[in-house]
Amino acid sequence: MALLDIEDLRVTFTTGDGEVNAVNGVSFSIEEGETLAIVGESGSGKSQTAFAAMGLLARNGRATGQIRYDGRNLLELKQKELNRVRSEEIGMIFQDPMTSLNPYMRISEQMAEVLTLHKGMTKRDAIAEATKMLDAVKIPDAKNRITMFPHEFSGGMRQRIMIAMALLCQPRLLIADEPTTALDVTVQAQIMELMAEIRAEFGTAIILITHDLGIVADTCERTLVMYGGQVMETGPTDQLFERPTHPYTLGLLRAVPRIDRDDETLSTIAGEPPDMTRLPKGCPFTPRCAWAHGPCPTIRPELLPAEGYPMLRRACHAPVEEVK
Amino acid sequence: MTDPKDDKFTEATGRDEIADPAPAAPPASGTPVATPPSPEPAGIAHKDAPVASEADNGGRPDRTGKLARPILRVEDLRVAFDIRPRGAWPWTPSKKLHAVGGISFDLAPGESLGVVGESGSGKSTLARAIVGTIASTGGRVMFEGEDLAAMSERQRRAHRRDVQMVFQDPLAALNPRMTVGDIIAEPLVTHEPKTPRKEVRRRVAELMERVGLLPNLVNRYPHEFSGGQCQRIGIARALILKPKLLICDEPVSALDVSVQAQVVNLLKELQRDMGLAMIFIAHDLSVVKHVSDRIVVMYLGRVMEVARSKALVTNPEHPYTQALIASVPIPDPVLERQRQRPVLGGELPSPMSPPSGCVFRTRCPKARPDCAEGLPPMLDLGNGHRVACPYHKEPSVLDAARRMAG
Repeated sequence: MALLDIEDLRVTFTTGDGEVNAVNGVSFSIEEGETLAIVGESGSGKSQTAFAAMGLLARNGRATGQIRYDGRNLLELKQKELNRVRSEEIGMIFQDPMTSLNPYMRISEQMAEVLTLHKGMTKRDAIAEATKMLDAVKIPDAKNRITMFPHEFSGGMRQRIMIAMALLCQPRLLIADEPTTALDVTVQAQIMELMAEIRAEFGTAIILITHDLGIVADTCERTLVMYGGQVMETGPTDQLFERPTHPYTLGLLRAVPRIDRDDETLSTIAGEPPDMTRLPKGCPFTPRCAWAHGPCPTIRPELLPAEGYPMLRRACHAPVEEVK
Repeated sequence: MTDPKDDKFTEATGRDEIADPAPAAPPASGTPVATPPSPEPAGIAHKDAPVASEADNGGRPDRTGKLARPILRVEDLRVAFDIRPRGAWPWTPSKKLHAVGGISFDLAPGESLGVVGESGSGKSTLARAIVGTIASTGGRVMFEGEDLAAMSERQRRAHRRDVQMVFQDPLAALNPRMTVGDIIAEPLVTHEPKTPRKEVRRRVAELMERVGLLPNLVNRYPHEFSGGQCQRIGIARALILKPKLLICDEPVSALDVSVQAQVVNLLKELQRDMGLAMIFIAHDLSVVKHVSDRIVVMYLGRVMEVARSKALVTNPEHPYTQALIASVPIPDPVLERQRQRPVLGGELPSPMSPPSGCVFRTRCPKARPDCAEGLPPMLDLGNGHRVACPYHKEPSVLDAARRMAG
């Protein structure tokens, strides 16, 4: 049985401008110890998918569908139960480490709180454990620095602290929402290396949510591409990058400027990201797609195995052999 | 109606025909080659070695093979900020933060220069000092032969119209209470108040079309546009005065990949068609490489390496550039697995107390004891390739990593 199994997840927000359909029927699962990347641009619903799973939607948000973790639907759990799952079973790291740490609390207090609350440890034991974890994420001089406040650390160090905190209860699943977007490339490389080590050491399954196809290529076994709140294509990272069968994946991969290539002009995806309050009934990518035809604007394509590429699943009306 | 600016504009585009023949110095004399690795007093090394001058092929040669006079010359530019520690007494001297510490380079008309560096490298401060919104604390910025600091009020106004900026956050850079038309027209109305309304409207519409916006959106407000469109508005506003130099400070960092490609292509196209000189600042080396003829790599307020884009990426000489390139992820799983992982440990030191000598030495895998003494000299490797590391010939960072690993 899969560790986390999401089925037909829908997230809607009620706003002054009407209903915003952020996630529209997303299904996927992740196995124990697996790494999965959810890739998409802003507004693709990739973060809201994770927030729904963790019960962290904004107050005007509503999630329907199934999010099964260990056989239980997380959407139906009571707050108390959910809190236990969130801390002990699923850890989460956010994009901006400064805003997710409490600026008024010393790192030691923040980290020990997790352990005293959920594991019933004494404060002294908890701080010792937290120090050990800070060592594991390679914070130099962890023993002394644990008493510092968040603002006394650099961005990269703060993100290490966040990772350490998420790992305190040794969760089976770690959800990382754009963990390196706010960091410099050399620090990003350090953090990604750290995540790989953590996975090797603790066997934690990781969901990496990102817009950066480059870091996906290096770290994740499986990739899920989202657009307009729907899954466009999914499959093993190697196959997906080698032969994208969905027009959006193809366009996205071609639009990334690459340091190892000399292209005179970048190929682009025409048009703008979709307006989530007014999505087309069919495929959300239709207005920007070069392969759009008859059924595209009205009939939503199902996520089916790609013909000739059984490992990949795609949601597209255009025949596989034409999309290249 | 003939607009005097229009003439100027043609001049800029047609620079090949009218390139100033006089000052193009003979190749040898123009480039003072820095002395080999002897410890020099701080600050002198960079001053003696302008990052590029006409003679080292930094600029583009015109048809007669001569090099155009640089439109912008930055000489040993320094910018320091006064930082007062919290709770300091009024008579306590403030500390200096050296955001830019002695940078020199030339920019030829129509050339595009990329500036890469991580946060805190001083790249944005450099841009603001060139525009003139931050006063420099040392060195000179010469725009078309005029010293920025010595300019009169009138000259400065002219300078402001010739140098325009595009900012990082497209929405924050636009006044939310002004319509798109007013935003784009504002520089024109400010600098040429006598322009007839009809003419203003015509030029706004023309420019909107040029940057890929529908001219009928002229009465909308910024919040009605997506990030990519807002950046197009920002670009249109920067171009309405037909500037000679466009400074883009992280223009695509806030945009999604698919939109980023559109804006990058647009900037490149405009730069070529309008003969603009451009300084393109970004932290993403793959974008910078794509846009620029030449790239300056900065670290903690200093230049580490300068080279033509291709040479810099394929043949980086400075250990920092090498580490930077190794850190840039490539969206290709097979290639990624074959690559050497970067070995750059640690983080950027505080700019309040930068390391002595070479500022990169605390993170440099090749660092030696003498790196702590004196600034490393700018070495000229020929063909406009300059590197501030006396040990660049030693095995590369990646080789060092391999040795460490095995």
